[in-house]
Amino acid sequence: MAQLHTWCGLLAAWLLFAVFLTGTLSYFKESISLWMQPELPSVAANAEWDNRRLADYWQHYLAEHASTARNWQITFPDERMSVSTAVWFGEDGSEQLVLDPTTLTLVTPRETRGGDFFYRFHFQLHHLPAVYGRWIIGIATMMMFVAVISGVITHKKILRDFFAFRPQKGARSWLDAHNACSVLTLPFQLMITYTGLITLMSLYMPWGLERAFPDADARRQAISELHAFPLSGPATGQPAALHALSELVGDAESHWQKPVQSLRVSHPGDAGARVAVWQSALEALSAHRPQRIYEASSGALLAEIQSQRIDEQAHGVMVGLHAGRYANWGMRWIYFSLGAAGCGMVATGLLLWTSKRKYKKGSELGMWCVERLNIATLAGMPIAVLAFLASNRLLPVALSGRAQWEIHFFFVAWLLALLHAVLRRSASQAWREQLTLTVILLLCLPMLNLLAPSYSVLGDLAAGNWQRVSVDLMCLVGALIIVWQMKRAAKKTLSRVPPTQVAS
Amino acid sequence: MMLITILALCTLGFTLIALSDNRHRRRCGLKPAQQKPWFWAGSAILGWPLWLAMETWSTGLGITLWLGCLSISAGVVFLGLAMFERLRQQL
Repeated sequence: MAQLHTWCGLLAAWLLFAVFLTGTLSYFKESISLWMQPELPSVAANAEWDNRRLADYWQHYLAEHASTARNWQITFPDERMSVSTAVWFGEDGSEQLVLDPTTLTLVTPRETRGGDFFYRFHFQLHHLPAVYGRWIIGIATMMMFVAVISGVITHKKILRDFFAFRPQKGARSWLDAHNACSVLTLPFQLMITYTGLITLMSLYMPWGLERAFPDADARRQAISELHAFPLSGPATGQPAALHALSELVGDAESHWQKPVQSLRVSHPGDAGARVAVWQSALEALSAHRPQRIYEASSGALLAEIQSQRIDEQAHGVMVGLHAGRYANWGMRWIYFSLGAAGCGMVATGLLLWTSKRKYKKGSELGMWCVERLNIATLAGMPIAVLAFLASNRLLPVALSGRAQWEIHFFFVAWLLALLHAVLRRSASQAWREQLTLTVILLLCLPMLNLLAPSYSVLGDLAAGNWQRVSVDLMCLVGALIIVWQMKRAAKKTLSRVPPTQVAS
Repeated sequence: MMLITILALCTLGFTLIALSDNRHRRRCGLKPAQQKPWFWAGSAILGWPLWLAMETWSTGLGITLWLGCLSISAGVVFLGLAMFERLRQQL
C-alpha cells in the first residue's frame, strides 16, 4: 500500500501540482480577469443596478448589431464580476461586449484570456485537443484519488500524529508537513478529487450512456438533461418580433425572489426563438441553477426547469461543490486556502521523496530527474503564472493576438525554468535562483498595476472594490512568505557548514 | 461575520483537542487527568458550529462550510502549535 501511495503520487505529482495551482487560482478567476483588464470600471461594492434596464439595453443593441446571430448570451453583474457582458455567435464566430452597469456605457478592455486561462488549463491543459487534455487530467486525477486513499490506509498514526510537527529533522519534517497538508484537509482533498472525476464522467465512462441511448440525438438530450442545460430547438425560418427581455427578467426575478444571473436567446428574430433565464448561482449548492424558458415572440412561459431527479441533483451538487460557484467571498477564501493546502500536499510529497533518497546510492539518475522536475514545477510553475500576469501589462494593448502572446509567455517561462533547472549544476542554486525570480516577479506585479494608465488603485479602494487590490496584496504576501522561508533555509544551511569553511 | 464565528469556534475546539494530546499536554504543563475532559469539550465545541452553519444557511451548504472551516481551523491550530514551539525554544 505504501508503494502504491508513493508511485501513484510521484508519477502524477508534477501534473497534479500544475492542476492544483491553476485550479486554486480559478476560484478567483473573475478577480484575476478584472486585474488583467484595468480598463474595466471600478464599480462600487455597494452599487445597485437594475437587471431589467441592462436587458433592455442589450436587446436594443444586439437587435441593431447582431440580428443575424444564432444566439445571444447575456450575463448580468454580480458579487464576482461587476460588469455585464453579451456574447453572440454568428457566421464569423463569437463576439463579446462589456457594459458598465451603472453608467450603461460600453467598455473596450484589452484582449486577454484572463483568469479563464487558468480555469481551462486545470482540466484540459493547452496546446492539445481538449479531449486528450481532459483524458490526461482524468488519469492523473484517478492516480491522485488512489494516492489519497492509500495514504489514509498507510498512515498508521493518523489520529495520534494529527497535530504533530517535528521541525529540523530532515525527511521526518517533510513527512509531518505532508501529513498536515493532507490529513487536516482530507475532506476537501477527497471531495475535490472525486467531484473532479464526476464532472467529466460522461467522457471518462461513456459506455453506460451509449448502451442506454444508442441514438446520438437521444444521448445529447440525456446529457443536456443531466447538466440541466436545455438544447435550443431548430429555427422555423419565419420572422417574429422579440418580446421585451426586461419583462422576462422581471418576471423571473419576482418569481424566484432572487437575481437573474444570465439569459440566452436562441435564434433571435425567428418565430421559433426561445429565451432561457438562469437564476444566480450564489448560495445554492447545486451547479444546476433553476431556469425558466420563455417563448421569445409572446413571452409565454414554456418550462420551469429545476433538477428534480435524484441523479440530476447529485450531479449538480457534485459539480457545484467542485466549482464553488455558490461561494461568496468568505467561502471562496476557504476554497482558496484548501486548494493551496492541496498544492502544499503535492509539493511536500515530492520533497519528501527526494529528501528520503538523497543519500542513498544506486538511484542517481532517477534522483536527478525528480529533483530537476521538482524545481521546474514547484518553482517554475509559479514563475510561469507570474510571467503570464506580467506579460498582460508589458505587451502593447493594441497588439494583435495579444491574448495568445500572453499564453506564449506562460509556456516559454515554464520551459526556461525547466532548462535552467536542468542546466544548473547545483540543485540548491537552481532552487535559490528560481525562488528569487519568483519573489522579484511577485514584487513587480503590484508596481506594474500601479503604472497601468487606465487604472487607479485609489479609485478601487475608494469604491470599496477589493477584487483587483487583493490580487496585488496576495502577490506581496506570497513574496513575504517565500523570502521568510528562503531566509530560514539559508540560516539552516549556514548552521550545517563546518566553522572552518565559514571562516575561509 | 457568521463564517468568522464558525472558524473561531472550530479553532477553539481543535485547540482543546490538541492540548489533550500527550505531546502538547506536557508542553503546556497540563495534568493527565485533564486530558479526557479537554478532548470531549473540544469535540463538543466542534459540533456547535455545525448547528450554527445549518441554521444560517441550508443543511447542505451548512455541512459543506462546516467541513471547510474544520480543515482551515485545524491548519491554524497546527501552524499555531508549530510557531508556539519555536517561540518556546527561542525563549
